[in-house]
Amino acid sequence: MQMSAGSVDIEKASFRYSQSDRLALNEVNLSIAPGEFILVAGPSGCGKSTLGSMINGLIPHLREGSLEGRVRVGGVDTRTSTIGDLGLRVGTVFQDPRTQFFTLNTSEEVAFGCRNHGMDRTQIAERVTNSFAAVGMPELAGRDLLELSSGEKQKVALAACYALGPRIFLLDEPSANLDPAATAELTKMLAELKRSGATIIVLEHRLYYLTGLIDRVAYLNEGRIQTIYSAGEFLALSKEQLTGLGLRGCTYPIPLPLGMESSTGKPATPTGACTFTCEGIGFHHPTARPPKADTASGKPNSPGLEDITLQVTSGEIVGITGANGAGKTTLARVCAGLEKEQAGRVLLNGIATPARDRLGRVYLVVQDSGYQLFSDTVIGELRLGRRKTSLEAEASDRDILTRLGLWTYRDAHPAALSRGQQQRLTIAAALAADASVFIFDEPSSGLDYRAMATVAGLITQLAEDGKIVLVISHDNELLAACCTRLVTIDHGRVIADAPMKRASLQSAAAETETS
Amino acid sequence: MTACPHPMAPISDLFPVQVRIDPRIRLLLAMLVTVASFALTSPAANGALVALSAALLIIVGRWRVAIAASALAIAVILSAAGIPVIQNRTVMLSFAMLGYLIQKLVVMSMMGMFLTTRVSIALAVSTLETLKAPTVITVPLAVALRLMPTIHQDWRALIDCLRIRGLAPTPRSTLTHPLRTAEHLIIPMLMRALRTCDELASAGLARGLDVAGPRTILHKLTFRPADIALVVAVVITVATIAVYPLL
Repeated sequence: MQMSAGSVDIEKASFRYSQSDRLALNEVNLSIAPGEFILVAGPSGCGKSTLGSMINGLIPHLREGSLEGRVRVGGVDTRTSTIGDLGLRVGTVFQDPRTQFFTLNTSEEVAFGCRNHGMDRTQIAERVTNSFAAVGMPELAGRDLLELSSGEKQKVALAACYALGPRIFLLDEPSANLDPAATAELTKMLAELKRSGATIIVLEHRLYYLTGLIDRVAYLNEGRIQTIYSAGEFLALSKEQLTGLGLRGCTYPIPLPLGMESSTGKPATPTGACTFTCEGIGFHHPTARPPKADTASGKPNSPGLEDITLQVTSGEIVGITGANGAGKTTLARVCAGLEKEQAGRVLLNGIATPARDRLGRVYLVVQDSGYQLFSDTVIGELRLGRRKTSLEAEASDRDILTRLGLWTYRDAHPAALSRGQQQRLTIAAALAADASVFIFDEPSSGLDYRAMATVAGLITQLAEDGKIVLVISHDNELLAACCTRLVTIDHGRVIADAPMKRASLQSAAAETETS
Repeated sequence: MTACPHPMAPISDLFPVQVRIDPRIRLLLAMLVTVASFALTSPAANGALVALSAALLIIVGRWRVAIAASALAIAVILSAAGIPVIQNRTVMLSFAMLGYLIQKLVVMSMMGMFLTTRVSIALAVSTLETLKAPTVITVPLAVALRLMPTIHQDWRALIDCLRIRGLAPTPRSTLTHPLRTAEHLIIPMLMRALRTCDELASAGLARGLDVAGPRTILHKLTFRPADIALVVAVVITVATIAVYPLL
């Protein structure tokens, strides 16, 4: 019994969601031994999350649908067990930290599960202390959850699982919201957990940070486990083979190709070039508390900006990087006119433009672009806010939708589109509203290789059409694929600004055409 | 990290009840004073209850609010002296009524603040659980309070998205196109709330939210001598206020 506590056995398991007519998972067989580190990879929609829900008992206990086959976790059939009981065997770290916390205080959060299981107070206190130690952050105890950085929230989520003493840990895209430094911390934490003998199952698109830990890789595609690789076999796959499977690269850091003094810096500039200029922008949140500089982890939530000067010409694609909390998003909000600069000025085509007039002309495409859609049809999305329609406007709408491959969906509901299509529709709406500057905030987070390549293609196309594009991202694969210049921000200041050679992204252009 | 030398030591460190006056005592006193303020209507009793509420607020450390609220109550009492001068009966009655309501409201607000000052959501839940409130009350209350910051964040993100699209509601658009405004605000908020609730439910169930059997109360509440002394003092004061006019 003790031996099987960390094992997972999935035998011929199939699952169909009740609203769907297609199997989300089809006769999956997977046997995971105690102490194994398994990576589950595969393109978006391949069934990774469904497999995760099967293991932690959300299937069949919460998700509606029909389950066939047998799933045993720690020797127990998930059908005859309860989610609560399975929670003692499998600790799940869900993707979005914002919606997996039940309290507002870190210690209370870690104690939450123990409390539900009626452990006594002494035991709870002991487990909470041990759990914070296990994630390497005893100083995280007793903090306000809303003040933590993404990396710290991830640690609290893991500590909260650890407190229940499971032998199996399941993590769903744990790196999605992390910057490279926090991702490195995550690798360390997972290594520690593996050393303690726990079984670890990670569902991921980004692979580079796990290469030293994996024992086996299950490659899922269209609801089936296509191949199970040993670590050696998987790491021996070439970049082309990974791309063929729709997977991200296994190596990091992907060197961002800087330099090439002679030919870059001046990309192909179309005639009648537009410019976007920030001149000495300064900004501080009025409500921001003084930053707690003394605590190494205590990043201020809303960083300010100091004397940011930046000029971008149409055709350029400027990547903006920097650690979480460096001020990237604040800069984007100021540029887009959502916040008013307190010092300096922003110029569009050489004309100083106040925040109010930048709204909509400098277009911020948020991470979850589905949230930027408000109409009930695709074509309606382009007409929103327009006072009257004209024949020219109709023709231009048609042209925009055709170019972005959405014309055939013009009468569909935006919510029915895929995530990539929603992103393109957001851009279509911006084009219809005559935006000339596009700022993308983490456009590739949570995307598989193909979708990421599609985004890169889309961004390149915007620039070729004479738009000014800024891309905020931690994703070096994306930055390398599309940016012509790279700006690094730290503590609200520009610390580096250099031209960049665009890396060729295999089949990126082709993928854009087909999707 | 380091093993705790004393088995009981970590509890007081991890989940300390760091509030002056036990929350259960606060609940009792808040109810007592509020009921008294509605039962006793004489101006003298009103004044005395305002003073008592202010004193209680000062005990939990909110002296600034206590002073501001008392000043408002005094202003109402002083202006009440001018009310009988008003000739028009309707106007006079309206003003008298307004003054009366403000005084009750001042007492109620002060007691509300007395009840919640420095009491975290978790401590409030522990208090209710200590008082044997059923789970059907405590769990939804905890989740509702927990959701407020998330809803606030979602709301701000939504308004930003609407501003970028040039669709942000203005007082004028709300009046001229109320349905459209509602559509742009309410539907996206509901969609987000649905998703949040689904994810929160998954996370909660995985950590035993629906496990049958008693849940552990995180904060150990104990009555201290000061708590008892305060209850005695307040009860005597309220009794005196109530009985004094009869003597």
